[in-house]
Order: sequence, then structure tokens, then C-alpha cells
Amino acid sequence: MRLLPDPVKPSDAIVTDVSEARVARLWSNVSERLNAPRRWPYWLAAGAAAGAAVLVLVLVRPSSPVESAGPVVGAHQTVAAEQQQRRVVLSDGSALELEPRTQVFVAKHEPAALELDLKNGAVTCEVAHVAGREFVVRAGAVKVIAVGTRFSVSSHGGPVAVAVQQGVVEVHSGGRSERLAAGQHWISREPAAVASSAPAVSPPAPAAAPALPNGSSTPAESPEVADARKLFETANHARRSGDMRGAAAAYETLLRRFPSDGRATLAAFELGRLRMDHLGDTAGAISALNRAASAGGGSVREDAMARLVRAYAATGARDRCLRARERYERSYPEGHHGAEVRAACGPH
Amino acid sequence: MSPSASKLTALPAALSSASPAEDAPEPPSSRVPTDAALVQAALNGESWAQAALFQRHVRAVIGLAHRLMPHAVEVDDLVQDTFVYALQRLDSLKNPQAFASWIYSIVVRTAAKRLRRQRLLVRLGLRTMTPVDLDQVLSKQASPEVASELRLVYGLLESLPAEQRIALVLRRVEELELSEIAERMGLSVTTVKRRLAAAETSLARARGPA
Repeated sequence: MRLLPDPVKPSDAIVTDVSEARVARLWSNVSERLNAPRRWPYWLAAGAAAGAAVLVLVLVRPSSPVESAGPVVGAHQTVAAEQQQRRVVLSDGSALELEPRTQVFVAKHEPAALELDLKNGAVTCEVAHVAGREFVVRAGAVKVIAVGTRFSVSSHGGPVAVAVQQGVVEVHSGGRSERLAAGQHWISREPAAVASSAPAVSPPAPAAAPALPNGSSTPAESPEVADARKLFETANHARRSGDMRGAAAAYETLLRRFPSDGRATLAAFELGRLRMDHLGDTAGAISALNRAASAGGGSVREDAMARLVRAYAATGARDRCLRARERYERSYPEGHHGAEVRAACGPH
Repeated sequence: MSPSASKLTALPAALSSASPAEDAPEPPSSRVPTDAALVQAALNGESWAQAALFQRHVRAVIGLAHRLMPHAVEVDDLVQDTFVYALQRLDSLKNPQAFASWIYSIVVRTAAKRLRRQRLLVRLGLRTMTPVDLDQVLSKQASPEVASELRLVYGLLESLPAEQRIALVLRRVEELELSEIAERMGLSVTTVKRRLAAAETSLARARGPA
């Protein structure tokens, strides 16, 4: 008599990704939060959130949440995004794209100066050119000045990140200034409240161990390790908040400044994933994934190699796709991504 | 620096491969530490024990979280919130060996909170909900009957209040008994029956005339 196989239970019929890479990423975030200083009491945070929600309702009553131009906003108003990205237009025609969980206060809106105060989160500004007018975004002690450009500023309680997409901006911090052109970015070494000048492109050698956020370091940590850890935390925080560009910028900086840090491989993998899934930069993803695949071990390496196959397939580089597929199958004959990899690049 | 003060930013390699089945009882003679032993070690400040508890239960927690809130980004947030809450409040766990059922209760109650908040945001126009594309996550091994039932249940979920939704998933997908659902949700059996009855009425309506 032939026995029927056990029927699949409903709970087993829903396939869940429990890859080692996902587990490692989750643990990284959990341990980071366990080690972080306690946040506000829940009721206080809830009160603040409720207050923010009321402000949102009163000041920028939304029509639809994503990619919609909200009402025109003037001076002394707060605009906020809760769970979804929001786009609002200032009365001079400049547009702000607020990432989820972002609050921006329009501190000044005058013919000679428009000044925004980024309280928390990440904002991308499309600045309308107005002759003789200064457009400023402040994030704690960091001041970003732009004229006719598109740039992003993020501040999630940790270091401030600035990325320029078009035009030029000036970043002022700790009595020094840095000029950034399109494609360049900058990350402060310190949290927004005490940020000092430390350009990501060429960081000065620290004369002494930098001041660290309260309770966020251990006595045995060297300044380099602390900086790498802070960058990694900033990147993870930005990613969780939906600020993919800010996250990518922080991962890139970590890889450039601390290539041999223990977090570098996971940072390379995350950077590849962000570029591939969110930023539309497949070529950039290949570079990062190659790094993760060559430096990493275990499941991160396997996931990176599988993604490389998909990335090459997406760019139409069939020969490279086939070689990457062969490498994956040779390294992981029983791998988690076997079916997906076999289906990529076309027939064997 | 004492071990208890050390920080874990990566899982210890020795723990990565040791992941016994989540619900399997651990024999006393086993060399694998029991949940109770790990909880006690974590309470004593051993951060490796936190990592071991995470590694042991995370897959089951991800699975349950995914079935309760099938949108991928929310699952990661829910899993993280669950473990952070649990590992910070281990001292409130009365029976350390019951860590598994305790953390599943936390997943369920945290999911209920998030779902209530989501519904509020949707009502205020601050958020839109996209229906779950079940075919993206449905196993090819699922029988047509199971697949059809799951499509029906998940097609309905976004329209249900949080508690009805949770109760329906625990009943129809997790196949838990009423008393287990009540325990996980922190409600009385009578309340669970009422929530389920309302959800089942909606389900019958969605199914259409027999």
C-alpha cells in the first residue's frame, strides 16, 4: 500500500524567508537596540507622535500618502511624514520629499532666506532658484546651504548625512565648511546636536578619542571601532526608517573608512541589496556584492553570490551571469537559492 | 571588561548552526542548554545567552510574524520589537522554560498593537494598505484546498479589525485551540469566541452562497 504524504498545514503553506542573512541582519538590529540607551517612555513617545499627527492633520491634511504634492506650506509651520514618504511644496515652489518618520519645521520664509529645521528623519529638497535667496537646512549643529539644487539631509538622532543629487551645497559644521557637488556626500562624526566637521571624503586623523553619545560605547572600544559601529548603526537606522539613500551613504562611508572592520562584509551586502532593490543602481550593486561575496563567509557569502547572478542577469551580461551561476552552484550545490539561480541567465 | 558588559553585534559562530526545532522539548540530559538555563544566564547579564535565545526562536517568530502581518518590512520591525521587548523584560517571565510560548504571545500582542495603529493611520488618510499578494508566498506543496482557503482568509484580512484579524489567523492558519488563542492574545475565551464569530461571518460573506 502506498502511503499518502502528510498534507501541508496552512501555517507551512506560507513560505517565509528565514535565511541566515536575514537572521544576522535582524540580530544586528536587535543587539544594537538592546545596547542603545533607553528611549523615551512609551507614553511620552506616544504623546509626541499624537502631537505630530495632530500637526500633520492641522497643517498638511493629506490627500493621498505617496508621491502626492501636498498643500503649499509657509513660514513657522511643521510638516511631518508618519509611515509613508510625503511630498510637500513650499510657497516659493521648492519641493520637499519627507521620508517616513520625518519632521521639518519651516523656521524662516523670507525673500532673502528660506530656512528649514530638520527635527528628525530625512528630507530631500528640490530647491527653486530664487536670485539672492539663501536656502538653508539645519540639522542640529549642521547647516547645509544650497542654491538651485537637489540634495538630501538625514538625521535620526545619530550622525547627520548629506547627499547631493544635483548642483552644489555647502555644509557648515563646527566652524568649518565643506563644499559638495552632485554625487558627493558628507557624514558628521557626531550626533546632530554636537556635530563637528569631519568630511567623509578625507577624514582628519583624530587628535583624541571623539566624544561618544551617552552610554553608547564601551570603555574597551577604540575610536575607530566606535566610529565604524556608529556608522553601521546610522545606516541601519536610516534603512529601517525608509531613508535608503541615507543608509547607502553611511554603508559606503563605513566601507571606505573602515574596510577591515568586522561589519564591513555585512555593510557591503546591505549596500548591494539597497542599490539593487531600492536605488536602481545595478552596476553599483554588483560592485558591493562582489566585495561581500569575496570577503564574507557562510550565508552572507551565499546570499551575495546568488544576488550577483540576478544582478548580472538584470544588466544583460549573460557571460558574467553564467560564470556567477557556475560559481554559486559549485560553492553551494544544495544552496537555498538554487532554483532561483538556475532560472537566471537562461538555459545551461 | 566583563563578559556581561561586552556587546554582541554578530551572532557567535557556535550559535549559528545550533538551532533545534523551536517547539521540541529539550531532554534534561541534552548538552544543549534549556530555555530556562538561557533565560537565567541572560538575567545574569550574559549577552551570549540573549543571542542564543534569539537564534533558537527567531525562525519561529519570523514565521508567525509573517503570517500575522505578511508585508515584509513590517515583519522585520515586528520581529525586532518582539525580541527587544522580550530580552529587556526577561525578569517578568514567571516560568523561564515557557520562553517560547511567552515570546509568541508577545508577537501576537505587538502585532495587534501595530495593526490597530495601522488602521487608525489608514482612517486618517496617512497610510494606504495594499492587499497581500498571497501567490508570492504560497508554497507549491500546498494542496488546492489549503491554497484556496488561505487566499480567502488573506483576501479578507485588511478589512478586519485587528483583534478579529489576529484571532482568525491563529484559528485558521495556526490552527490553535480557543484556549491557546485566548492565552496568546491576552483575552478571555468568551471574547475570543466573539471575535472569531464576527470574523467567520465576514469570511462566510466573502466565500459567497454555498
